[in-house]
Amino acid sequence: MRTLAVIVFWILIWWGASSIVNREVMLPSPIRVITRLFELSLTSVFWLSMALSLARVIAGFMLGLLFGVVLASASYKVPVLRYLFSPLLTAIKATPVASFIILALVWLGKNSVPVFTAFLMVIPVIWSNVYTGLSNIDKNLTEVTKVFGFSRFKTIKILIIPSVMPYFFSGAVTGIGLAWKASVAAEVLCTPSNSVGKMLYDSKLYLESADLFAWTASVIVFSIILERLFKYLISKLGKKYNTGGSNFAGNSN
Amino acid sequence: MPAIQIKSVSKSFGEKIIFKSLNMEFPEKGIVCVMGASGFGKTTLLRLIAALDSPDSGEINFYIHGNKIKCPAISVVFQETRLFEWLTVKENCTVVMDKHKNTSYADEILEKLYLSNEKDKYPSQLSGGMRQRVSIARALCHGGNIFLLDEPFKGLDFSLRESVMNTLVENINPEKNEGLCIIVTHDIREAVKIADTIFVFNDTDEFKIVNIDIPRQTRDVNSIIEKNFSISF
Repeated sequence: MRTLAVIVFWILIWWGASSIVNREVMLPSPIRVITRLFELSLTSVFWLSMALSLARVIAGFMLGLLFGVVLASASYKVPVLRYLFSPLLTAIKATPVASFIILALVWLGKNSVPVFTAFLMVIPVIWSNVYTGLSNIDKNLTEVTKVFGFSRFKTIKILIIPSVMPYFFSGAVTGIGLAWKASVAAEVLCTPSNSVGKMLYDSKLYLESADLFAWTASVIVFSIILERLFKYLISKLGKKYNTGGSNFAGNSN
Repeated sequence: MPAIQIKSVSKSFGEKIIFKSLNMEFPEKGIVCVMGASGFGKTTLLRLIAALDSPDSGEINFYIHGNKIKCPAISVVFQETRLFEWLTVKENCTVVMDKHKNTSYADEILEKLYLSNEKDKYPSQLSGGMRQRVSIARALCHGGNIFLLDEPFKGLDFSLRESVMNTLVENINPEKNEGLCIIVTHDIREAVKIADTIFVFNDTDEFKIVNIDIPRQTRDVNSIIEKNFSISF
């Protein structure tokens, strides 16, 4: 109820501001944007663009997860790799997304740039979270696995995965948001066909501000749905490890 | 032939010398209690036997029926309970069991330790004493030739101590009745009640051995203490 009241409050502010400005090209009214969003949602282009943009986000995100976990595990196991990769990952974190997008446009085809950008955004987050999780594995429990003669596989299943999961989940939730923003930004700059980014770019090009707002609103809605869905999946998996989703595991004593 | 032979073992942590040249032999079966003031290296001794720490010099040898073996099956009850928080009480016990072993054995042990109603709970839902009993149950479920218990009865209700001790005695290698159990304790009465042999550390590397040949059920704890430890009641 409170959330709804807050939303209504800001829509009223928006409506008031658009009435004062009174130029649709500068600030369209909420009613005009909602009407345009409804009209767009009845077209196949809208759904196709949304689906393909979402597919690019998920592809980049999954690749980021995979490489992030592999890199973190390798650097934990071989400290030299940590020293080698650490500056690279710091550089990725510090570099503006636009620089990567432009570079990727030179290296790759425009359809691959959003995937690559999402991938680059996810990797450092997952890497550092999983690495921290591995470093924080309870040494007392490691001794328990040694004393009771656990195999390597059993140690991974019983100790390592449950210990690292809370850190992984927390990184993945941050990563999905970053991947979505970076991927849409890349689409705006490299305009692959049937993409939300291209639609945003076209709206700006033809000064269709209502369309620009409608597409942005749909990106926000899809991003929230995706994040909620992801958190739901995590809470289901979290219960399996008795970690309560993204909360960190308690101590062993 | 002993089950464990400790030969000229030295161990220090930085400047602190724990053992200079320790020589000890543990019998093939029975319950041995190790006592001594804090800092005499009782826990270090268990960690060396469990291969969780390595001696600076010297060697530790293991034997079964007189044959030297490299890696005996060892079960440990740590001073801290060290349970897997994401596994239930029963899972904490079955996870250490050999896959060919029937998991109903875990139910049996949990029942003996009054934990049947807690078997589906997570460790965070248990009291300190219950967690301690789960830790003992886990060691019994794992089984093995050698049990190393570091103050296993600490934190247990007085009323439960006796029955937990009895469960321990009954279940140390129940199939063959030949397991060796080494218990570190500070409680002299506890040691006299349960042990076949007591090692009392007086100083680094120096200890007194007290053998108790009287059956556990008929022991007069006070008189054994008066006779062997110069404490009168």
